[in-house]
Amino acid sequence: MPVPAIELKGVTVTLNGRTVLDRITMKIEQGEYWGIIGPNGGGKTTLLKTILGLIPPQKGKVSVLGLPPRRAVKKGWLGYLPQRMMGRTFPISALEVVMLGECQRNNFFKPFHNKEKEEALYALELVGLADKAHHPFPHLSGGEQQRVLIAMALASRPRILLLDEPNTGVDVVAQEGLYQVLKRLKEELSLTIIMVTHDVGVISHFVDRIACLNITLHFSGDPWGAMDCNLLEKLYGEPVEVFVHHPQCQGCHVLRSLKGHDD
Amino acid sequence: MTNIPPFLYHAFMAALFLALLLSLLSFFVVVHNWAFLGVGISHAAFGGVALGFLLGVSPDIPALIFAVAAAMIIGLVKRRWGLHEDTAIGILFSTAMGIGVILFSFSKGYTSDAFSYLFGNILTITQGDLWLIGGVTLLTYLFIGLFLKGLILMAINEDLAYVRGIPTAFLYYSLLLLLALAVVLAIKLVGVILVTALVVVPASVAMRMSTSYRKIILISLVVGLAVNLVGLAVSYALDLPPGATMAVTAGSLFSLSLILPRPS
Repeated sequence: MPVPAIELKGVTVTLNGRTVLDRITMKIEQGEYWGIIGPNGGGKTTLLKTILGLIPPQKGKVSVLGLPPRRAVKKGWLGYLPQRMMGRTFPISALEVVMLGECQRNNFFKPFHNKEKEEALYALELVGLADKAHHPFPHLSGGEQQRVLIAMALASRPRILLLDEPNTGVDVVAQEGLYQVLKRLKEELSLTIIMVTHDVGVISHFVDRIACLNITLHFSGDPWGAMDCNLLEKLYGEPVEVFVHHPQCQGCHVLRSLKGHDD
Repeated sequence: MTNIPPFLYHAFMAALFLALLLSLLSFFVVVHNWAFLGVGISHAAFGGVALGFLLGVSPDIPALIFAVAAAMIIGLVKRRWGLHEDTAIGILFSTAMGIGVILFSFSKGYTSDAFSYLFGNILTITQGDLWLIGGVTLLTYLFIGLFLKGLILMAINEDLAYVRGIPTAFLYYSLLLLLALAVVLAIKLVGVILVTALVVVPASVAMRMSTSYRKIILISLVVGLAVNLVGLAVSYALDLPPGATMAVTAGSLFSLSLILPRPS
């Protein structure tokens, strides 16, 4: 049995006296694509930051490929796309952003070499933005900026990619493109991907596993298992109706009737 | 070029090196939104200046201690308690400045001494100051040259820098320390109140001219040199206060940069 990509055992995180994560236990195997859903303030971002070692848990244990998070970070195993990125107006080209992702592997205080440039261009190609390599980063659209940042995370050749709301500021059509790119990358590079999102209906088509998080873990497992309206009602605290948006865009279906049909 | 008075030579060399030093730091000040930080550090230094006068020692050492302490406290408040730097600066600088004014009121010759530290006095620049300015300039260039990629990534997003294994706390506090040193050294040239111009204007002008950080840093150096040297020359020719002339030159250059089209 290979070591799990990420394992949390009874992880509790308190921030400013408020419990943000309560006894979270979960295991993410290598090569899996996970979606993490839940309401605002449900602890999704905190969960990612705890996995990264940015927030230490009060109780419990986190291991990343068998190591404590900070050691896994030092080994360069983790790629990260933060939510609400600051610095979107920073004067730098798309290509340079991606090259910064290679910092660790190539000693971050040495100048860039041609090899790094080639690798960065390849990473941009993977996210379909090779033609925008020399554009100033602040001039790109929100969706393009997200893809550049994903390319940056990929350029570091991580084994695990953590994405916090990668669809922020991306229109619906581009969002699906983004999910498809991620699915393809996961297969091509055998990455483990953990993605936090609001997009309950759409991700179920792309991810292998879903975790529903609202301080405690309400569900983790098969994505269609999470599309249960009672579960989602418990998670969000109010009645919900799930719309499923088909990847080939043949229209939206209300999941409840879809499930009824399946039954 | 004969018979250059030594004070003018000292002022020229200080203006030259401080331009190179502050304009390089200016880029990081602007991208981190630290404009107010320079104000905070320099005003905190004023408390140290006053203490030096009261104790009858050279005000340079207490000024340096006050400025470095202020920079570190501001950094700690931000990183440990998650408060915005501006909150810490607002409290710290008014307190330190208040202490300075009270201390000055106890010592003799309040107005003239206080005035030369508030607005600069090139006559007070010594050969020793020049060595110090040169040393800090060299140190700053070495630091930024060595850690440029880490510093850039940290300016874009600190969490991303952490994930790449960059020692973010070390880089953050080092940058604050160098900024505190640079600001204190510039006080004799332009004074506590006007030093902000030299910290903020060079990169702000450069940002209006390019979208590449490398070019912006270079343009910032040129702007800084122009502000300091033109300012000094004009002040000498027209017999105006040098610090104030540099601040006005900086402001004028920035106003001119506003008519430039957005860089592409």
